Formats: sequence, C-alpha cells, structure tokens
Amino acid sequence: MRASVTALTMVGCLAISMPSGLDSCGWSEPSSVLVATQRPADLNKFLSGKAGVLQRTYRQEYLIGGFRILSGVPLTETEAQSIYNFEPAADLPRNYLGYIERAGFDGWHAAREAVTKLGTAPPVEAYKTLTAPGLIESFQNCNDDAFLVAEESLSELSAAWGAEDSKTLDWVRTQDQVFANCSGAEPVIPEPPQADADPLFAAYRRYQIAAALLYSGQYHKARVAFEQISKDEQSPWQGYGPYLAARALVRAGTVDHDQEALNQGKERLLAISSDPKQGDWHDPSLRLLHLWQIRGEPAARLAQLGRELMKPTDDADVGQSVYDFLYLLNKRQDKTQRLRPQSELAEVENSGELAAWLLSMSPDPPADTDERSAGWWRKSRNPAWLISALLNAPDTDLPELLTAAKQIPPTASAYESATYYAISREIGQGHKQEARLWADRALTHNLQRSSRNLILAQRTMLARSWKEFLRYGLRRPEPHILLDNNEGNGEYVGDPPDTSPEFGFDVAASFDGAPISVWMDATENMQVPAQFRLGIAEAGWLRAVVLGKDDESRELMRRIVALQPTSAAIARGFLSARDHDEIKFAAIYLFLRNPSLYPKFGRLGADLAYAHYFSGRTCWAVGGSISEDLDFPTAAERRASKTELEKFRAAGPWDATTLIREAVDWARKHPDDPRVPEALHRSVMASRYRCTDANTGEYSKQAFDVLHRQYPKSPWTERTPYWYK
Amino acid sequence: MRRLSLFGCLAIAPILLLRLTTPSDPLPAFPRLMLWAWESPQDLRFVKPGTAGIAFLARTVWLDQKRVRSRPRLQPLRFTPGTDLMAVVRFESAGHGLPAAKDVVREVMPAVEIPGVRALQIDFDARQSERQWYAALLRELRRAIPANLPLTITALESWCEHDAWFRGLPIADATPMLFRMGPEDRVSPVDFPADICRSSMGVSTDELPARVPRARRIYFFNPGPWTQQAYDAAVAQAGRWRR
Repeated sequence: MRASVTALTMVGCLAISMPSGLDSCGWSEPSSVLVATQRPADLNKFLSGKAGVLQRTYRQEYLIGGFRILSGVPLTETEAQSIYNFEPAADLPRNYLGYIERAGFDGWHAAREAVTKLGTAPPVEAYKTLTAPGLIESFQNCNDDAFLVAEESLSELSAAWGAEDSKTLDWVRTQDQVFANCSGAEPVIPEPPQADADPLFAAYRRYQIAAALLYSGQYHKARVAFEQISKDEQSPWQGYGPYLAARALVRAGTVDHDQEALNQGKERLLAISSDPKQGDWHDPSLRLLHLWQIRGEPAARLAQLGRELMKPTDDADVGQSVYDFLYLLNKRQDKTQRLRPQSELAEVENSGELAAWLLSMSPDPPADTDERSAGWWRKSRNPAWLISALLNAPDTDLPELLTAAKQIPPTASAYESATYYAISREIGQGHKQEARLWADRALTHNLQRSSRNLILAQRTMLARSWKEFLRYGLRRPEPHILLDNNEGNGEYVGDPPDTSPEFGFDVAASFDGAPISVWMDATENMQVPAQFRLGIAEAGWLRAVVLGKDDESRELMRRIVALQPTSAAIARGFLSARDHDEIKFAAIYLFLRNPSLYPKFGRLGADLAYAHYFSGRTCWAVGGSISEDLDFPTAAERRASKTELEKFRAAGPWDATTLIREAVDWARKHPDDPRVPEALHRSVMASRYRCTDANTGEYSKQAFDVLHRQYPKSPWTERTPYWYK
Repeated sequence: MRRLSLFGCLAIAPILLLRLTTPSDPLPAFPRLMLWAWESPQDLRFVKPGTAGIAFLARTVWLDQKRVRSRPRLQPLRFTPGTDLMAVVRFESAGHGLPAAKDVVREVMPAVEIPGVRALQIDFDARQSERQWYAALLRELRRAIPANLPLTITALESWCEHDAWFRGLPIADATPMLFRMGPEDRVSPVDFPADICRSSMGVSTDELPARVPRARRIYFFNPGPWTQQAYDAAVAQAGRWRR
C-alpha cells in the first residue's frame, strides 16, 4: 500500500514538474523540457555510465540500457547505434518518425521507369491490406529485398539479351504482374512459359510465377512451385528454392494461422541452417526461425533473448533482438484490462532478470512486484534492483533499502536514481526533515539537469516558507532536448531557444492560489530574479485590481515602477487615480493598451508601456490552489486564498464584453477624459481579439457609436472603421 | 382561423430561424460521436454500430518535393461490423517543398478503397506556405474520389478563427482540433467565424476543454488504444457538453 502511495506521489510530482503533452492531431511549437521523462536527456552521458534518474515512463529500450549500465555491462557503441536508431535520420524532420527508407523499392522504380518501351510503370504498393468483417489489418507483403532482386535481375537480363529484347520486355511485363500481388486483392498469376521457350527465360518465368503465388497469398501453391525450382538444376533460382519454400510455409502459418505449415516451415529452416551447402541461406533462415520461435515458442525465445541481451556484442542487428524481446515481453502484458495470471508472471520472471526488472519498472507493474523486487535486490545486490525495490517494496523493507541507498557514492551510476527514489520514500513515510536534509545534500553535487530538477521539485514541496518555495521552484530546462507536442513524438534531441530558469508547473499551480499578500511579499524576494519579480508584480497588480484591493494594487504598481522605471509615465494615470472607479478605469485602460498582461504566476515581466494589439484570441484561464502537501502556508493564508479565488472568479474575466462595457461606461460619465477615445478604440479591437460572448457584438457597436459620435475628429476614431460581431 | 394560422406561423418562426442559422449536418449518415483510432492496436468491438463512428488512421503520407511515400496503418483495427468508418489520411511534410498533387492523390486512394469506408478525412497541419498547395490537392482529390464519398479535413483552431484560406474548398466539413494548442491558455469561442468549422470539433480525452463550441459532431482522440472505460467516459462527456 505504502509503495503504491509513494508511486502516486512520485507520478504526481513528475506530472507537475514538467510540461506534458503527447499524441495529437493538433500542432504546436515544441517546448522546453525540465525533466526528460521518456529518455535520457543526454544519450552520450547515459552511455558513458551517467544513468540519471531511471523512470517508469522511459522507453523500454532506454531502461534496457540503464539495466546494463547498473549491472556493470554498459552497451557497446555498436549496440547503442543499433538499439537507439528509431529516431528519424538527421536530415529529416521530427514528423518523419515512422518514415521508412526503401532503397530496393526506389531502385526498382527507377529501373522500371527507364524501360520506356513499356510506357509508364504501374504503381506498386508493398503493403497488403486484409479486410474481414470487423477487421482491417495491413502488413508489408513485398519486402525491400524483393525489389532489390528484381532490379538486379533486370540488369542481368538486359546485359544477357539486350535492354529492348522482346524476352527482356516480356520479363518486365511479367514482373509488373508479380508486384501487382503485393497489394492487390485479386491474384495476378503469370502464364507458364511456352514449351519451346528459351530455357533461361522459362526458368525466370517459373520463378516469377512462384513469387506471384507467394505474394498473392497462395502459400501452399507457392511452396510447391519453389520446391520444383529447387530441383531444376538449370535454373539460376535453384538455390533460392528450399529457403523460399520454407518461407511460404512460415507465411501460411503467420498470415493464415496454419499451425502445421508453421511447424513444417520451422523443420525446413532448421535443415537449411545445418546444411553447409546452403551457407548463403543460414542467416536468412535464422531470422525466419526467430520469427517462427516468436510465434511458436514465445517463452523460450523471450528467455533466450533476455540472456543474449545481457552480453555485450558487436552484432549490428541487436536492435532487432531488442525489438523482438520487447514484443514478447509486452505482448504478455495486460493490454485488454485482463488480469495477468500468476503463471504468466512467473514465466516472465523465469525468463530472466532483465525481463523481470523491466516489468518491475513498468508504469503498471505486476501486483507482487513489491516482494519480488526486494527479493531480487537481496539476491543479486545489483543497484538496478535497489532502484526497483525503492520504487516498489513495502514499507517494512525500507530501513534496509534506505541504508543501502545512503551508501551509494555520488560518483556511482545509481546515485541519482537511488537518491531520488529514497527521498520519495522518506516523504511518503512522513520523514520530511530527513528528506529535506537528503535533498539538500544531493543538490550540492554535480547532478544531471533532469535529476537536479526532479530533486528540486521534491525540495520545493518540502519548503518551510514561501521564500524557500520560490527559491527551489526555479529550474533550468534541459539544454539539448525538446518536447514535441504533436503526434506522440515526445522528447527528442534539439536545442531549445531559451534555457533560462523557469518555474515548474507545480510551483505555478500552488502560487496561483496564493493570496495577494503573498504576491506582494514575493516582489521583494531577492532570491527571485528581478524579471520574475516584475512579472509577479504585474500579475499581482491585475489580480488586486480585479479583487478591488485598491491599496494593494497601488502598492504593486509602485513596485512595478521601481523594478521598471520606464513605466513611470504610463503608470502615473493609475497612481494618481482618486477613487475606486477611476482606479478601475485606469487599470482597464492600461490593460487595453497592453493585453499581454495576464493574472497568472510564472511569467517574465512585460514592458508596461508597450501598447499593442493581441494577435490571437486569448482568454483568461486562472485557477490554482495551494497544495495540501505544503506544510508552511498558514491557516489564514489558506482561508484568504479561498476567499480571493472565489471573488476573482465571481468578478469574471476581463474578456471583450467586460472591457468594452467598462470603457463605454467611463466614456459616458467622463467624456472629457483624454484617455477615452483610445480606450474606446482599443475596446472595439478587443472585440476582435479577445474572448467573446453572445453580447460582445452589441457592446462593440456601442463603443464604436460612442467613439464616432463623441470624438469624430480623434485620430483613434479614424483608426476604428469597423466594429465586430 | 386566420388568427390560428398567424399564431402557428409565429410559433414555428424561431424553429425555422434556428434551422436557417444552423448549418445542416454535412455527414448525416454518421453518428454524432466519432472516435479517432490512431496507430496502435485498436479493438473497438465494444462500440455498438450507430452509437459512435470510427475515424481510423488508414494511411500516413510523407510529402517531400522529390517524392511521395506512404504506408497503411500497420496495427489491426477491430470493430463490430456495421460500425460507420471514416478513413483518415495523415500528411507529414518535411517543409522542403511539396510534390505534384496527382502523386499524392495516388497515395491516398488505397485508403478510400478499404471496404466499408464511408468518408475520407485528411489530417494535415499545413504551414502558411503550404496552404495553396493543400487547397489544390483537395480539389484534385475531390475529383478523384467517388462523388458520394464525403471529403473532410481536420483544421487548426487558428484556421477556423482567422483564416479564410479554406473557404470555398470542396470539403464537407473541417474539424477544429481543440487540443495540444500550445503553452498559452486558450479557450475556444462559442462558435467559430468560419461556417465550415461549425459542424464538428475534435478533443482529446486527456485534455478536455472547459468550454467547447457548439458542434453537432464530436471527435474524441485517445492517447493509446481505446478501452471500454475511455469510451464510456467520452460518451458521458459528450452528453454533458450537449446538455
């Protein structure tokens, strides 16, 4: 129970300490990242042993790398290149994730286009879509190798017979038929060769027929055709026959779910793999065998891959092994709200340490992970398991685990993970002083940026005053990573335009709920950079005006001027206001001139004197509440927070209708105020750019009419040719 | 008798007025709740035909000045036969120029040919410099696909707010996407100025806006595979918004 509470606390901590947003159809600019949650922020540092804080939300490929590091067998360069190659190539943009280079396909397309005598090449689609009632499924039917072989064949035949020879052209025409089966629903099978056909031409044609049968899904006929080719000593394709016959059987198994064919395919592939005469086909056969094994003996293959992946290798294809391993591991996870039976869990755990550890580090670990992770830690003394145990183990195991975590030196790969999760457990236990001391100690070390920000987020929640809260709330974004908010692309390597410190979302959420008195104090907190203090003063001023706190709004305006002396002239109208109504109008006027002002915490100060229109419809969305997890806010502050937020909400946002109404009211009462024409003009513009409601058009017309009637010669009137519905 | 007719006319006047001001449903054959089924294994057999439709990512097309490349969804989509299906084709642009529209139309067509598909939606966040091309593409696509197959698009909110660039395009509907709109807090208006954006809207189950525009059809996006629970929540939310 405690473990799950802790996990929730940590997940919550993560959620509020970083920008988030994945998977979408919308479009927005990438944002900076305070804490990388999907991958190590600096892959090179990670590979060199600086594991950072390993998180449940990491892509599993990175968790595999983390486990290897903590187990003392870091990934080799070849392994890293092969495993982490899922990012798009450097010359392609982020939205090209999933884009597949197809050299063979392109090569064939170009070669076929060059055969001008046959006209334009028919379009080829390598994927076949299978549909049945209630099912749509596609797969790559023609692999890139097929197109590569076709291109080579065309080149060979052109050399042998001539590029424009009728036999060559006939072969090309037939090859178009073969590839039509890649996607076509109806089989297109070439005619058999004439009895008196050129033997080479006939051999090629028989191979084309067999390939067409394979791609059209007639796997048993294809198998027979390839078997015949394997017996034809005159055929240049004889060597391909046994392997392709086995492949046809495996396809029958994987596509048509023909188990017997699948098993036959396996036997044939084993035979090819042990036949020295078929050496060229050993690697392809092994790959197909692995495919068979994934279907036929998933548990054995999972265990085998788990063992293989813990051994350093120079195999450039290890990325495929990782892919298969994760497929097998995740396939067994609950994706359909079905509870994983205990037998399956035990099976995965028996598959090896790596599989068991990845499960324990998953966002939704098996129910008995708490006991098992501590058990693995005691058994292996691998720091990776200490991290898992700190995340999962019950409170009864904590003394032992916390002691072990304290003994990890700051230079160790496990230090940042162990420290972060240990502090979380201390917080979960209510040991706030211990947690505070531990966090303060950790923050004196040279931590990676994300790790530092995670521990700063913990320390912020352990603050003893608003002053401390703001001090630890400031964090610097990761310098080499961005968050793509579109299409689920997530975090990726890129340079954020700005890595200046910013406040975490957790800080903003609580501070936005703070009463005005706290805002006023914050403007004098010298641990907060001046530009942020200015932002706090401006947002606080706006809040104070809306709340009708005239003394506070005057004082905050004085502080704005102190922090930004160039605002003195524009602030004069507000500071010299004689009563509440004038204060309000003066504030409305300033706000109409500078609609970027916003009553929310965390923004840098804006130039108060900068008059502009907003391009883009903006509305106020102000919320926030002081977190219950914070110890230091007083009962009076919490009460004031509630009262002020209710009052603020009741006053309503300064959307278009409010702004226009206030401007028109003031104009009617004070027609000689020199600010009025400009205020009316800008209020009409607000009906174009700010949030509107059903009454906005009516008020927009009123402001327009008053402006044109009362101030026909004003330059502001000239600049207001329209009102807006 | 004459008085009765007058009263009758007065009584139905507001209804007629409402009908005149509310655009007719561009997809009358589709339910008012649509589920976007993106590229992950999706088992939507819990959706009863007629209660919600499925707008499934059918293909992704990568655009580049030199070539067009595409592939179909590679994850299975399961559904109850009879469920209304809309094929969605996502365009990704490299931002280095765009190919000939006819080549792109060719890559889109396999999505249209999937049995059971009753409408096509193009999902392309076209940059300003790409919009003229996109408009031409939509015109060519409209000519290429069957006349009785509605062509719709997803739209950035800003298109519906400010841009008239897609006015007059041969599309039945443009669905403004009210999610992942960036770090600014923005609340959508009660109604979009662009008529074509008033029939539908798109939201994400993990980022539900506090206020939504009036729309007769709601598309829900769910990060990851849909579940019965996520679906039930979407149905309930749609009900609350329509109240």
